[in-house]
Amino acid sequence: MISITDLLIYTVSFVGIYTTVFFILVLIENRKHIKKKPLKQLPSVTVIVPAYNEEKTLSKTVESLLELDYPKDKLKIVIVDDGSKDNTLKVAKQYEKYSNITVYSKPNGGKHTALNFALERCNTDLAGALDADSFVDSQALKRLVAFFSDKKVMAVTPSMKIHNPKTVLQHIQRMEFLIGIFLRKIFAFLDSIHVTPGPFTMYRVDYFRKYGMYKKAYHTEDIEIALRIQTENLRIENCVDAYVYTHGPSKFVPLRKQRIRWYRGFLENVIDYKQLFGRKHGNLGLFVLPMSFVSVALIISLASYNIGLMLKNWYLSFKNLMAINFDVTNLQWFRFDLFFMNTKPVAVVGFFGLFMALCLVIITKFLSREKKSILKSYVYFFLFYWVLFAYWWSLAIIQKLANKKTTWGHKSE
Amino acid sequence: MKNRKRMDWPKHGAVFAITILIFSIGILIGSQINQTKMSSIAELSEELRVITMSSELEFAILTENPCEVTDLSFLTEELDELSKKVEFMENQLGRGNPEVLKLKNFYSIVQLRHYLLMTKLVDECEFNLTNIVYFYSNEGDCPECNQQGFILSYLRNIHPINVYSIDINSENSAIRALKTIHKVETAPSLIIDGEVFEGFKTRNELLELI
Repeated sequence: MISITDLLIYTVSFVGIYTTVFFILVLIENRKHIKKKPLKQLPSVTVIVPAYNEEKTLSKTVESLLELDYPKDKLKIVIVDDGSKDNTLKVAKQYEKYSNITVYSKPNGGKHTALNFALERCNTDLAGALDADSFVDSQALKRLVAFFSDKKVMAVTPSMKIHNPKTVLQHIQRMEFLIGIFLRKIFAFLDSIHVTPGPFTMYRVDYFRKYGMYKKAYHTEDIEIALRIQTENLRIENCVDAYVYTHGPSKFVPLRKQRIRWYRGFLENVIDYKQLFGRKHGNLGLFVLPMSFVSVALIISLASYNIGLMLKNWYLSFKNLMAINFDVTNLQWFRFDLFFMNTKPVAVVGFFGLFMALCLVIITKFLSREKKSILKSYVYFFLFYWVLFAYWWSLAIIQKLANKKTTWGHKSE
Repeated sequence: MKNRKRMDWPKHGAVFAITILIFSIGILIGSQINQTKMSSIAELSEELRVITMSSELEFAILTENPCEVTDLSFLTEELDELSKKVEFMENQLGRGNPEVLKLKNFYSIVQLRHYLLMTKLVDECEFNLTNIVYFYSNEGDCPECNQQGFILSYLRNIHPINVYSIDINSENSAIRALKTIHKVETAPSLIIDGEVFEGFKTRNELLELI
């Protein structure tokens, strides 16, 4: 009889191979639509920089905006100090000398209130935010606005990358973000983008006027607004070469808090917009959203089962070593022999699944134009991401079930 | 541009077919490799049978001076190698696999023949060697078997002992006979120099017995 582990590996491999093959086919089919020709008539844009205690990183963010290759008369930069307790406002004020930069200060009310504060005063065609811990590539905006040539497009997402990863956790995030670049492009081809990342997603200002401003949305206003756009049957595009760089949390606890907020926010918002499931919303309702929950369920099951098995084996090994008074010098250690390689059909199928995942990573590297080596990030990602993903999601689900209040966690998003 | 939101069912059909194809190739390759491994074990078993027979013959020829045999380690390494491989294949293909059962049966017979031969040698020549028959069960009814096996493997590295691991649930008639003669009913059980010890034995208890 087939064991639980085998059944799980078969299911995960099947789902993994199926989705990867599907995504690759979608990419091949749409290969001519990956990029857009730049617009001759550029729209006017407001970039909002909501800042709360960002005195150290604000300058880099604003400097990167000033270096954008975009006509200055069509680009407004609005810095909103959301009641910071440090010198954020002072740093921001230094930039008031630029004619296209406006600085506002308001009492603290959360990111969505800072964004709405600026949006209410906005008179450009497009608007978007750039968190004060992120910065942009100089060509990002010009490339991104080209996708607004389609009148139904309400938002265009950029490609996010982790800037200068140092710790293991940052390398894992780097790989995750790079894969995110591929996935977001595919989701755009399927009209199924369900998260418009905070940093540098551009929106039509008219959308906010017609369909309402940002909502608190469990501290994930970027998920809520994406789902809202999808509900209205409007479109969200992705610009794969509009690069935005952000600092990923370097430590375990801030990263955990950030992820719980993201996943919990996703869960809560999807429940609020449950009407998106079903035939009416095509790829999003029948494939992308259901598949994201199936993946979460499978990875949690696989991770918990494997961790359980690993702990049991460690316990048995410990007990065995204890039984010989830890006299390890007289043990015959592992010796490599091809014969003892697991060649069960399930292992070969699992290997195929991993191979497909590697293909996806190679495509991602190509698509994201990442010049630096991704080997280190990939190895860390491959070794630890599934455990972390399962852990964060489990906590998010437990907190949702316990109805615990959501907190902001790490600021960058 | 066509409506990208709409589900493209023919594409999903094609993806499903490709996935099934990749899956089938994986299963086919896995089964093929396992089949090759099985035959390599079968070959090793054949080799062992020949070695066992020739060593018995050698023993018979040397009957007049059997104690002139100096190398007592012959066969034990090969037996050990085979035991690991059979155990691995048992995990890979499942305990109920007829090929595995056949191999295990054969392996047990080779082991028992070797055990009898070595016992005779030790008795007649007073060699410093302890022969241990270890009865284990891997049907979930012997939680101590993993540890007992580990201790025996460890002791084999530091003392002159031969360990013959026998599945207590084996249907082999020779094993049944051995169990009946020594009244072995539960696992773990050990036969050390002809004496039966039932239940788990610690490292120190075993050191006293050998």
